[in-house]
Amino acid sequence: MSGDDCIELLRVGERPLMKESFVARALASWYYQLKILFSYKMHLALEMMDIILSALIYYFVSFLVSPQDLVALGYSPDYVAFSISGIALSRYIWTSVSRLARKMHHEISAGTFESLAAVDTDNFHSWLIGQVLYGFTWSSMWFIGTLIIGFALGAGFTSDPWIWIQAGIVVILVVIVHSAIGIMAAGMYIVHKQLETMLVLMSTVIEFFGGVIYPLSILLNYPILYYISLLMPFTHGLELFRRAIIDGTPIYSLGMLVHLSVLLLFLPLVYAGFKVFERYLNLAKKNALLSVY
Amino acid sequence: MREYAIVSEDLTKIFWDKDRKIVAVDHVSLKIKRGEFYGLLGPNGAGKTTYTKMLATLLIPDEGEAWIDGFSVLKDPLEVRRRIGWMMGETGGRALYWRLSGYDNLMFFATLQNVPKEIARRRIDTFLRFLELDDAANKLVMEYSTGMKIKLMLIRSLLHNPNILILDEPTLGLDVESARKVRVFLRRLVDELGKTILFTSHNMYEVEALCDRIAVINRGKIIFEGTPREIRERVEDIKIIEIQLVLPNGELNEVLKKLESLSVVKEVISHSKLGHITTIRVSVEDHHSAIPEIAMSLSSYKIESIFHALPTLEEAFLKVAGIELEDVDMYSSGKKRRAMRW
Repeated sequence: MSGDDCIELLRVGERPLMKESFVARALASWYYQLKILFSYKMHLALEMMDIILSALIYYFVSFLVSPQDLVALGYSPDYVAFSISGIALSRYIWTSVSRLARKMHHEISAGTFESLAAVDTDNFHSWLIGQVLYGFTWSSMWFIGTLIIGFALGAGFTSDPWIWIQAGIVVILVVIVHSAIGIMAAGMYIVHKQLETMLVLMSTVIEFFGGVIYPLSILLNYPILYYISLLMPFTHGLELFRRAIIDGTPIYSLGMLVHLSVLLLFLPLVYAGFKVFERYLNLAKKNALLSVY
Repeated sequence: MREYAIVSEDLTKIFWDKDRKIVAVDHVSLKIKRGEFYGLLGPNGAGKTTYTKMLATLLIPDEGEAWIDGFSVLKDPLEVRRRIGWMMGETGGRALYWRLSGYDNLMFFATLQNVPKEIARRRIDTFLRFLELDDAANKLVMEYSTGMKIKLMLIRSLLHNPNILILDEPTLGLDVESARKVRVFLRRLVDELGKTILFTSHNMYEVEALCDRIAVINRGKIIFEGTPREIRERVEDIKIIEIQLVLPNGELNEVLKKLESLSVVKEVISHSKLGHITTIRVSVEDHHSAIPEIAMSLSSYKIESIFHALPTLEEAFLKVAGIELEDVDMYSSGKKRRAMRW
């Protein structure tokens, strides 16, 4: 083949700029990342085992927790439902906060980050959103798997679909807010590197203060810790989610609106996340760090 | 400005190695016309890649400014990226997703470059066929050879049909036939479609065959700019004698010693062997007097030919760059050769 076809194709297709689609770029970033994930078959199998084992741990711990204590702390007496809901939602935190920085490490060390930077037409916004979507999809598999196992182990979740839709909205809000932190961290990673350990710690701190496996009211005995926990968006997200799927409380009910409002207050973080990322990207370009890991 | 596709003015990039200042690109000003095939030559570490990365907006310059298709790399980097196709060939294919197929890699980047799906499909299929990758299109890139990955990266840079291509060593790692095919194709892009290509290479033959104009960069500075012919003319004063002879095994060092001992010979520049013919190139003061003397001293060997030769572009480049051949990894030959001092 002489290349005539290629020349003709480029001649015919000559146009200054094609219509741009932010959504198509974001979806491509999501779709091809999923394809990469599915090329790691063993990884998927191990993840499945992790889901089952995590749920089983708290199922057995539930035998040690007295239902009366839970009721005294203001929750329903079902510890399996309590803990399963906590660990299911916490998976989103780990993914949202630290996965993007890990992804950045991978892209830079694999040499693909420069390639992405060379074709970037929106300061990585669509790519980042695609990656957040991917993290959401991946964590949702974990989330749904955990809840199904919870059901199988007898966790008393509500069966009201309207409440589940509201719980879904809470999940999305939690992911958006924490992804903003993840996007900032990813930007910082391009310049500072070696942030992964700090991010793992950060995820653990968020989960600790959120009360993933214990009722938050326990912290009332340690007022400083309790007040710190109220500053964490995850605390409010988890409280909304739990009350909704265990007690069937609508998220717009009076007691829940406080938590919802606090969660919504964190939404501007998304804008800050993109700005911080852009700032660090430019800093990396200034200091030739796009391919240094 | 409109007649130029690429303009740089005093473009400078400084790196710091602890307290040591390294000026990787030192106030480089170049103007590359639309529809021009422009070569940037220089030894390793000369600043070629740093310069092209600044044009591709992957590095922010410390001083100076550059414009691509009239758009500033500092003020309008997004517009710049929409207009260029960038390829860095030296990475050994690292710049691809190894756990995606070749086809998926191309489709992913085509989407990021806003190419509509149908157009992307047609272009990908046609380019894959042209570069004989169609059979491997659905294989994971991790199974590709280096040459296949380089072809894939070249296709990727063309998918959005940019008018300006910045290609860093695009044929490095390709087999001879594929490199030839790519060279012919790149030249056609310029001649038939009016594309502008900024091209870096170590391969002098390639540069001579392809480029309308070249610039030689060394230690971050442009030390020559002109046509390949002009760079040769710069070194017309260099007198070179080329001797082709048949040598018995193990006699080469003896012959080189003999030549170096002759007063008419300034320096042995290079030697190579093709088949049973050994070619030796020497620099001399005056070729008229040198030819008979060299012929006399080698009379015990079977001389096929001895003549006054023009400097190759490679020799001209080295003289202009003021460097020694042994300092340079000559990718064109794949091995280091004897020192050539001017």
